[in-house]
Amino acid sequence: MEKNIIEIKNLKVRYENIQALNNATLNVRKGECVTIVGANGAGKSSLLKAVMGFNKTDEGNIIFNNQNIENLPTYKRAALGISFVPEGARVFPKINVLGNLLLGAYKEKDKEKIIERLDYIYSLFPRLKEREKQLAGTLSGGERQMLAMARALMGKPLLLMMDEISLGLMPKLVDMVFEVVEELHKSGITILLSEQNAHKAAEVADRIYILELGKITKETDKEGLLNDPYIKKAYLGK
Amino acid sequence: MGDYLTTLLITVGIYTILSLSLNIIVGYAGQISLGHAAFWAIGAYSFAVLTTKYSIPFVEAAFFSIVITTLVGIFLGLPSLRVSEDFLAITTIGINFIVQGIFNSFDYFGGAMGIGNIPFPTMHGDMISNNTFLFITYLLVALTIIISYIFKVSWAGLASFAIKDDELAADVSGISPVIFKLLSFAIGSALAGLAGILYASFMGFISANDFSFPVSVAILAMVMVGGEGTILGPIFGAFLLILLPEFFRPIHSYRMFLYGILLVLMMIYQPNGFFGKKGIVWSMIKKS
Amino acid sequence: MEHDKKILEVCNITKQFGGLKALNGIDFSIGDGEIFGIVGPNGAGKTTLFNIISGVLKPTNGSIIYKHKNITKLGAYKRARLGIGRTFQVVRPFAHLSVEENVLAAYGIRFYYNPLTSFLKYNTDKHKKNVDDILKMVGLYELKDRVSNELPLGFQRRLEIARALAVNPKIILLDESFSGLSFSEIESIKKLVVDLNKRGITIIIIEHNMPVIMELCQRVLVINYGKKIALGSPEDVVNNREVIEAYLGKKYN
Repeated sequence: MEKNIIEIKNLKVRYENIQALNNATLNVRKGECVTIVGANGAGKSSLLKAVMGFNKTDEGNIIFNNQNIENLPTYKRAALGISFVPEGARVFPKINVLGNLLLGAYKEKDKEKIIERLDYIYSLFPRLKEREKQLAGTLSGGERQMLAMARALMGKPLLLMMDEISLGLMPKLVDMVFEVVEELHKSGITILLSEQNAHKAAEVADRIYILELGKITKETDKEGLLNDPYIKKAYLGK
Repeated sequence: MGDYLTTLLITVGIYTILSLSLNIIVGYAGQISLGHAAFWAIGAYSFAVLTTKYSIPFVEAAFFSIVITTLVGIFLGLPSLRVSEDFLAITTIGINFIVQGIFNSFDYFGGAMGIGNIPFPTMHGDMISNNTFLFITYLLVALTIIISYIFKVSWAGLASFAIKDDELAADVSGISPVIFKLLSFAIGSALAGLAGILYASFMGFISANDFSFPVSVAILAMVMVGGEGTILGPIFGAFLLILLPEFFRPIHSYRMFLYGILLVLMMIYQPNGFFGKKGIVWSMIKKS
Repeated sequence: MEHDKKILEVCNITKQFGGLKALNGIDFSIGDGEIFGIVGPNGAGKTTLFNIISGVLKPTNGSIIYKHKNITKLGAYKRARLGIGRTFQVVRPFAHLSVEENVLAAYGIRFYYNPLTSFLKYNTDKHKKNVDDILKMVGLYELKDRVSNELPLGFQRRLEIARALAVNPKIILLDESFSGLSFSEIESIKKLVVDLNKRGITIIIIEHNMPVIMELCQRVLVINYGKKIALGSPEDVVNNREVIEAYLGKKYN
C-alpha cells in the first residue's frame, strides 16, 4: 500500500459559537482520489481550509509528507506542495488566462519546465488554450472553474484539494469537470475533494469519507457508498 | 458650577449631539461620511448670518438654520446614491473642504475674520446664565438621544440597517435605498445643524477653521470608538475624546495624534467599538 | 397555454453590456399560478433576465408587463411592493440582522409606505405573529433569533425565500435556490415550492438541477447566448437536440 501523503488526526476547529470540526480523522495515500461527502455546514470546507492553513486549528495534528504542518502559515504549506481550489472558482479577473496560469507556477524558475507544464495543462484543458489571451473575469462559470483547477496544477502539487467543484455549474459542465478530475487521478495526482453530490463522489473516488457535524462518521469505497442503506437515504435519496 | 467646567460640559454636549447625528448616517444607514463638520458649519453659519445680518429673532433663526442644514444635507446626501462606499468617503472629505472654503473666502460669511456678535439666548430681555445654557444643551442632547432611539427601534431603523447590510437585497425586498439613505442624511444633518446653532450662540464668534477636516475625523472617531450603530457608544465616544485630553493637560496639544492612535488601536482590537458587538464595555454590561 | 390568465409578459427584451448582448430579443409570458423553469449554460443570461424582471437592471430594449401593466421603468423596490419577490443565486441575507429581523424588514413595506409612518414601531404583536407564520412555513421559526450570516447555506436559502414571501408576492423568482444543498434540503425546498404554488403564488425557477426542473415545472424556457433556444414542457425540452448539445451534454434520463 502506498504511503500517506496526508494524515489528519483528531482535528478540532472552532468558530465563535460553532464547533466546525470535532475530532476529524482521515488520511489520503499517494495517488489516491478521496472525497469527503457531507451536507451543508457539516464542515467540509472547514476541513480543507484547515489543511491549507486558512483556519486556526484548536487541537489535533495535520501531517503532510511526514511533517507536522498544523502550525505553519498558509504560504509555507503551499510551498510544501499543497494546492487548494476554493469553492466558487476564484481567479484573478483582471489578468488573462495565461497570466493566471503563470501565477500558479510562481515557484518554478526554469522557463523550460514552465512551458512543459503549460503544454500539459493545455492538453488537459484545450478550452483554456483557446482563451489564453482573454481576461479571466470574462470567462464563463465553467471555464473559470477549469482555470482555477489548472492554476492549482501549475504549481505541481503533491496534494490537490478542491472544494465543491461542481457547484452552480450546468449539467454538461459538471460532467466535464469530473472527467478532468478522473483524468488527473489517472495521471497519478493525489486528490482530496469535498462534494455534496454523492453520485458524483462515487464516480471518481477511491475512498469516501462521510462527514457529519464535524466528525467523520463513515469511511467507505464506491460500492459501499452506493449500497449503504443509511447513506442511500441521507445522501442519495433512494 | 465654575465657568471652566460649564464650558467643558457644554462642549461635550455639543459633540455628543454631533457624534449621535453622524451615527445616524454612518451607523444606521452605513453611509461613510468624513465631512460631518460641514453640516455643523452650515448650521452655525446659517444661524450667525440670519441673526447678525438680518436681525431675525433667536428662535426663528434657529428654526430656519435647521431647515437650511437639512435641505443642504439632503442635497449633499445625493452622491451617496450614486457612488460606492470608498468614493463616498472621498466625496465627503471634498464637501468638507468646499464648505469650509466657501465660508473662509466670501466676505458675506465674514471671510477669514469669521462672524462675531452672534446672540446668546435671552429670557425676558436678559441673557440667560451659562448654567441655564448648559441645561438647555443637555435637554437638546436628550432630544437627540430620543430621536436616535425612535429611529433605531422603528421600521425606518430596521430598513436602514438592512440597506447597510445589503443595498440590492433591500431594494428587491421593497425597501427604497434612496428614501432611507436620504432620510438618514436629512436627520443626521438636521441634528448637526442644531449642534451648530448651540456652538455659534455659545461662542458668540465663529470662523471657518472651527469646522475643518480634522474636526470631522474627530467626530467620526467618537462614533467608531464608542460603537457605530449603538446609542450609548457615540455618547461615550464624545465624552471620552473631549474629556481625556482635558484631564491630561500635557497631551492636549497632541489631541489629534491621540485620536489617530486611538482609532487605529480600536480598528485592530475593538472594531465594533466599546459598545458594539464584542466590545469590552458592552460585554461587561451584558454579563452583569 | 393552460393558464389563460397571464401574470407576467416578457416582451422582446434585449440587454446590452458594452459590446456584449447579454439578452437578445427574449420573449415569453407566464400564466397566473404557473411554475416556470429557466435553464441554460452558465453565462447564458438567466440571472440578467431575473435582474430585468425584478427591476435591478433596466433593459436596453423591450418591456416587462406585470398584470397587464407596463412596469419596465419602475425601480426594484416598487416592483417588490407590487408583488414581485426574488432570491439571489449567491445568498444575500441582511448579514448582521437576525432571521426574524430580516423578514420583518421586508414585511414592513406592507404598512410603512412613506418616510413618516416608517418611524412607527415595527415589532408589534400582530406583525410578529404574521412574520412567525412565514418563518414556520419555510422552517426557520426555531432559528428566528439567530444572526443570519451565521446560518448554514441551506437555511440562508430558506431565509431568502422567507424574505421574498414577506412582501406578499404574486410571483417569486428563485435563482438557483437548490444549488449547493444536500439531498434532503433539496427535497424540503421542493415541497415548499409546491406549497407556495398551491397558495396561488406563481413561481419562476432558474436551476441547473434537472430533476428539480423536471419534477416541478409545467413549462421550461432554455436560453443560450442570450437567445431563446427552446420553450415547452420539460419532456419536450430535454429531448430537444439543441438543448442537449448546448446544455445537457448528453441525453437526459
